[in-house]
Parts: sequence; C-alpha cells; structure tokens
Amino acid sequence: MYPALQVAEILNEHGIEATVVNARFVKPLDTDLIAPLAKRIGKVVTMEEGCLMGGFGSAVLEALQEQNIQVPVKRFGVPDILVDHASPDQANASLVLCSPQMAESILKTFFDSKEKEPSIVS
Amino acid sequence: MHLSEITHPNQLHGLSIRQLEDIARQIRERHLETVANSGGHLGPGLGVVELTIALYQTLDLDRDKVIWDVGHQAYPHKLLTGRYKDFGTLRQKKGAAGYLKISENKFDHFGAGHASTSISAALGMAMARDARGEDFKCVAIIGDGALTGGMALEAINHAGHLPNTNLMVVLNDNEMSISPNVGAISRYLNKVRLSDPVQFLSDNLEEQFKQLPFLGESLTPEMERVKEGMKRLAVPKVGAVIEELGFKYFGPIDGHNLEELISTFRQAHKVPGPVLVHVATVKGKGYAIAEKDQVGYHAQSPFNLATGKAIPATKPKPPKYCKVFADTLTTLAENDSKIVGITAAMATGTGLDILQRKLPKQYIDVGIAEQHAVTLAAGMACEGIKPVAAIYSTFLQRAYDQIIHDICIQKLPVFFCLDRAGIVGADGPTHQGMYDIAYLRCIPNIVVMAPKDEAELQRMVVTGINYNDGAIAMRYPRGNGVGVPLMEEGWEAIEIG
Repeated sequence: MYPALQVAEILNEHGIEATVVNARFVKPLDTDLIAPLAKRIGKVVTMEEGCLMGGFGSAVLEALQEQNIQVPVKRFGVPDILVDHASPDQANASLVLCSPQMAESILKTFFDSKEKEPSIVS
Repeated sequence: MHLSEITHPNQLHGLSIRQLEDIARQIRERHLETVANSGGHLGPGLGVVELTIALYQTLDLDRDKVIWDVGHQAYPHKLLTGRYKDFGTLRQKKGAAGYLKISENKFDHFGAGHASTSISAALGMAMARDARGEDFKCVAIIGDGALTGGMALEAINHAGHLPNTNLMVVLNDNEMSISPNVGAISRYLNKVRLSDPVQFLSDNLEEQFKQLPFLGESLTPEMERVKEGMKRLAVPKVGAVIEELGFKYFGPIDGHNLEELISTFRQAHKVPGPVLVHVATVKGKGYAIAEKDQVGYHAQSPFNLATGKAIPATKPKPPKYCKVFADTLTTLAENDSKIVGITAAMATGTGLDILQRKLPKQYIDVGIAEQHAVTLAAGMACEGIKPVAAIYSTFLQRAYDQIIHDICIQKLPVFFCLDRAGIVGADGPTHQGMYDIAYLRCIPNIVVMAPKDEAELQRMVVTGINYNDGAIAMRYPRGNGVGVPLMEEGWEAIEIG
C-alpha cells in the first residue's frame, strides 16, 4: 500500500494521476470496487510481495477476465525464480519492486505515447 | 595449524587432540566475530564445534556424505569446507548463505532451512547407494528439537525397518529448539541424559573393587579395563527405546569432549544397519553470555562481543509487526478465554511469548510440528475454541494438506496468522514468505487478508477472531511497522471483502 502511494506520487510528478486501492482482502477480492475502476481508467497495475504465479495480481486478472474487462494489466511481484539471501531492500531492488523502479516501469509500459491516468491496485 | 589453511575437511585426519582443540578454538573465534558483525545464528553452531570436528576426523569426506538438519548449525562445517575466507560475508548479498546450499559447496550434500528433513534425505541417499552397489557412509545430524517434527519420526520409523541399510544418525541433543524443547520424546532424552545408569553401575563396581584386599584406593589398569567393559555392556540399556526402534544406540556422550566423540564415532561406524549416536551438547558453548541465554542467542542481529548486547539502531523504529500482533491478541484473549494462541516452536519469533507470559493457559507450543499444530487447531475449533495458529508463511507450507483436508473442507473457524510474509531478507530462499497468497487463495472456505500497516493489523486481528464462517488468514511482513499511531484497545473489525 505505502509503496503504491509512493509510486502514485512519482507518477503525479510526471503529470499522471493514479487511483490507489488498498486491496486488503486478497480473497474475497473486492471486485465491486476494482472492476468498475479498471473499466473506467483502462490501465491496471498490481503490486505484491509474493509470487506472481497464482498470487494477488493473478486474482485481479482472473476477476477482470470473468467480467470481460479487457484492459492492460502490469503486475509487480516475484517472478518464477528463487530469491537469494540479501537485505530486503537489496532483494526488492533486484526484483524491480522499489517504488522508483516500479514508477519507471509503469511509465515505460503505459506512457510511451501521450495517454494518462492508470489505476493502481495494491 | 591455522583454520584458514583447512580447505578440505580430510585435512583433519591425523591431527592430535591438542591440534583439534586448537582448531575448535579458532572456529569459535571466527564464528563469534562473524555473527557479531553481520548477525546470524550463534548458539546452534557454537554447540557443535567439537561434534563436527570429531565426526569429520572419522570420515572420508571425498566419499562419505553428511547431511545437516537445518543448516544454521552448520557454520563450523562451512569453516572446515573451504569457506573460511568468505565467511565474513555471511548472510549478505552474494556472500555465504546462512544455511547449507547444494549449489554453494560440494560438501553441502543437502540444503535445509526448515527442520526435521535430514534423516529422510540421508536414508534416501543410503538406499540409492545400496541400489547402485556403492560403499560410502551417510550421516544425518539432527537436533533434538527437530525430532519434534513428525517427518523425522517417519524417517526413523522407516530406517529402523531396514536392518541392512547402513545409516548413521547423530542426535545433537541440546534440549532446545529455539525455545526449550517440548514433548515426551524430549523428556525421554532428557532422562537418558541425566539418569546416566552407566555411571551408576561403574561407580558401584568401583566401590566393590575397592573393598577387595590389597587394591587400596586406586584401581589397577586391569581393573580399569574391566570397568570400561562393564560400561559398554550397560550402554544399550540407556537408549532402550531407540534400540527397540531398530537402531543401535551409542551414548549419551559429552559433545564437547573430542576424545570421547572420536572413539564413539569410530566404534559406531563399524556397526552395520541404522545407528544412532546420542551427543549431549550445550547451545552457545564457549561464549558464556550465549550459554546463559540460549533463547536470546539462538540467532542474533549484530552485537558487541564483549557485552553481548545488540548494537542499537541509529534512530528509534516503529514497533515490529509481530509485537503489535501479539500485544493485540493478548489484550483480546484477556477478555475472551476461548482464544488460544498456538505456535510451532516459535514463541519469541511470533511474539506469542507475550501471550505465554500473561495467559499461559491460553498458549500452546507444539514443538516444530506445523502439521500437528494445524490439525490440533482444527480439533479445538470443533469444540468451540478460537484457535489462532501463528505460523510463519514459510513454515505453514509444511501443513498444506491439514489446511485443506482438516480445516477448509470442514469449514472450521481457525485463524491463521502468517508472519514473515513476503521477502524476508538474509535467511534466503528457504524462508521467503512469497507463496502464501497463491497457496491459500485457491482453497475454498478461507479468507485471505493483508494489512497495509500495523494499525490495520490490529483491526484484522479482531476481524480474524470474530470471523466464524470458515478459516481466515492474515499475512504480514517481517520487521517493523510503518510508524502509524496505534490504539491500546477498542479496535473495530473490518468488513470482509
């Protein structure tokens, strides 16, 4: 949640407004909140400190797919690799999970052209 | 010989007891100074310095394989297997791992960060060896704490049924998990350690010999030998339960006496079939401060060697998640005797020691036995108790079928509190808490939640206690909260979803 707010702040400096959702329930997922936002805003970012496969981002993707909402989704989390010993900050950095890294990645993924306003779910 | 010159454990062969003692001293020095500097496990390794040296002196490690249970006691092993120079990088990025790792060193035959796996792995290697018609020794070194884990007992059960499969189990008995050990097996081992019928018999014998005319106060060398012989005869009786399980039993031996260790290992290697060597050790041996506070010095953040005190943080930090969790739970439990906190040998790590101190009747430590903890919680839930199973994300992996089969299928209201969720840092891949969302989310009849900060965690503890429509899990990170204000009481539950 707090990293997501930081990311939103960085994006804001680039003139991009982001809505941040505190997805405190992974299950049941608050699809009543998330789905309409995703539909209206048209871009979704998910963030989790957990494996991507089957994790929270997957849950969001499934929910959107169920409702036939076809929008681009960028998921941040741990890919299909082992994470070696290091300080948590170092591990996060190597996984591109630090807030500035995520902001940069979002800019690259979604904002090479002129569109604006992603929705961040975390 | 300086420890840094040892790059292969076989270099210990042929060294005198005095030389080995000197190596032991250097291992302790390096171990202490490294952990004081970088943090890590302290007590477990210091307790097995002599055990490691003596065992390796009796093995040919180009052929024989040693499998360490929970690699955190294997720092002496690391120091004897060519990692002296890298040891200063312990637990740091790209440095030496805090556990054993099959990819780090050719003498790390099996990695482990969780407990109770070593006997199974060693037996598997022994059976593969026999199937191929090869000849080498397989030795598992396991703590008495790890014997509280069912898997170790499953392996002993299997090995005891295979009289022709050579396998050595070294029981490193320090009477501790992280906290003092629990359970009947631990009590039995303790009895074996303390009652010492060997000594009783031989002392008695000595007295009787002394009554003989002309012998006087001291025994002749011949008589000493008879006495030693009698000792050996008495030995099997000490480990009667273990012998009944099909193992030959040696011990208990003083785990800090190199001579005794070496001669016992030598003898035990000659015995065919499964053998158990019972070694009595002291956690933290050689560092008085750690010997005195064995719970506190199981593992340490960087500390001052002279005082043993942790090096204080430069600025005050918000409270740890585990502390906020335990304080909140304890406050709720004070007003609701149906709340029971369950830990699997992680009283201090989960913070449940706070509950234990205040409400010992509402606290249960089951030992390193996550499967049992979860199904025990299921049984309690059937009887109207509100069990709170506080188990790290990484350790709850060990009780997966129990979550599905015993709890979720029966829709029982158990509250799981998964500490150390997410990236844990220095402990590495064996301890990362990154699978829980995926492994819990796919099971029916469970709610999964994660607080954004410590204040939301307090409300989620209430939510979890109040929820009775099946299981509910809360995942939260290792370490400190984000620093939001906390309430002392009067927290409100959060609406599910």
